[in-house]
Amino acid sequence: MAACEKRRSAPAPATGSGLVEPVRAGVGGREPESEAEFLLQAGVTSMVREALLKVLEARPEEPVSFLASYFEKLVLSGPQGGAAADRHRQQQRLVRALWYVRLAHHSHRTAFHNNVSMAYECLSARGRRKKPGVNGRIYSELLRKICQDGEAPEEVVSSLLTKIQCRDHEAVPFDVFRYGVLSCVVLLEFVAKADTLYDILDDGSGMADKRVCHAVLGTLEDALGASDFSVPIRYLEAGSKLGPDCLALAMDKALLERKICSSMNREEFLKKATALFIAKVKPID
Amino acid sequence: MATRPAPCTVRSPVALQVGDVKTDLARPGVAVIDVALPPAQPLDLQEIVFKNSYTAFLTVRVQRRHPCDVGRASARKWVTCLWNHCLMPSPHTEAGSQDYFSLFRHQLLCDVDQVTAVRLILRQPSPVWLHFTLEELRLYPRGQQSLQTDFPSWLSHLAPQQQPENLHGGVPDPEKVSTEVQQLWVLTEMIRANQTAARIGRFDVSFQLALFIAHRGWPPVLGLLCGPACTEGAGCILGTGSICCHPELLPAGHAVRNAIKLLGKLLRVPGSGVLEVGNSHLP
Repeated sequence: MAACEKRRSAPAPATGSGLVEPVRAGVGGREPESEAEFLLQAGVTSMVREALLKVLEARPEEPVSFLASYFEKLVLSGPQGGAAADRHRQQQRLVRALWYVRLAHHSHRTAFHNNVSMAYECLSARGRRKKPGVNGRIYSELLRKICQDGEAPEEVVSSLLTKIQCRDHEAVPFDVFRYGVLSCVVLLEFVAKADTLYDILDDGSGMADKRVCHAVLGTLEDALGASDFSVPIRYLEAGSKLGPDCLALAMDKALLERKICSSMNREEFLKKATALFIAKVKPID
Repeated sequence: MATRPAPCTVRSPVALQVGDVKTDLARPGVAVIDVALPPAQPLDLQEIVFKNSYTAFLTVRVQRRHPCDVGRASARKWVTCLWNHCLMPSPHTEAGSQDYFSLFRHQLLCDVDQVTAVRLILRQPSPVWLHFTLEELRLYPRGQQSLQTDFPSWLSHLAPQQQPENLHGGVPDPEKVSTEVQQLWVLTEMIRANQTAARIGRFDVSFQLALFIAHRGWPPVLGLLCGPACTEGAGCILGTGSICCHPELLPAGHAVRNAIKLLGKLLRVPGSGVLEVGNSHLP
């Protein structure tokens, strides 16, 4: 509750110090028109509006818990006493940025973009003396943290990170930041999808046939490398290559090959699949 | 279109009108478009393509040269090869008024070989439309189809030609596999489409340059190792005052050049300068 008090008092100085007193005194409720005024003064109106906007952007499955965590974060990120160490504050900013990134799924493009820019702003805020901006260290740390909460194997994550990480001293422009965050988020989803694919391929036995795995991944690679990036027709081409008919044919052909029947475990499959994805990620230079 | 239309000159339509064009209030219901073909090369007509513009009925007449008596003027005869072909089923309404039409050889009443001129007679009985004509008129010679023929095979055969008759027992459900693989594809395409042009502007050369000099001792051999991503291996250039401009470093080439010059001066290397080398020295 103490934090709430601080939060409430925060916007007040901006509107003029003369108004602060009546607002605090007005909590008891003196006149009907002062209620709306109070909400405005205390920043509740804009806060609630912001919260509603976030709900609309993210469209969470459970709005109540979403709002609960939203307000919780708001309390945590509120202005702290001067006693808090700089390191601690930075850590908090990181947590907040991470939370922003996770608010909306990346397929909600506008919402995701907004949230990423909020995260960027949040990270780039600095102390009074330091210049604002995001440096490579905090950017890389954010990426690592994003990747941690998925089920992506360590090896896969590190191979992506080496491509998009920045060095500690480097200043990270927003575009690079956005691309890096997006790559991590999409990688996590890619890994999850590839995992599901493996479940289908192994047919519940826990071990998928190596030849089939190779055939499927080969088809995917083929479709990805199909033709020139700018030509729209390649979407159709990829669609035809990845249709059930073509895949069935490829898998059938793979099974007919006279090779020793060996299996591919899940880790290996995920590694091979994500390698296709990571190859398309543009390295930072 | 994959093929080229025959070269011809399409004259502007001439309205058939009785009386003075300017003062007479009655609108003409017939117009004629003449198409002149190059006299030297008669055309074997395959297809007439045009876009309608409020013409209700079309009559086509062609001038043919009889193959057996070439050279005689009288051998050229006008024949009607299309008679009152309906373009607008109901002339007072819009239907068909701006459609594209394609008239093929087999739709015409007679042979259209050795054609030297074409005359299109346009009729519009309805007074509703102020003007009527044909647009984008093109004649295609025989032996060429206006259809595009260079479709990729996967587009013309949406289902693969060879259907697997009975799948091998162990094949996983292709429907499910396809769904998942397509999603993987979408995600990868998305990341490819989102690539940015923004750069950090990394440039590590000076550090490596210094290292290099330290290793060589006196007299200093100025050189430059490639960037960290160089796959050719270190030591691709070792010459006095020379510089290796790896493609990756090219944008920074100017800075490198200055650094080399400065170092050459500082260390008083005789004859130090910048020698640009391409990739040719690389193993």
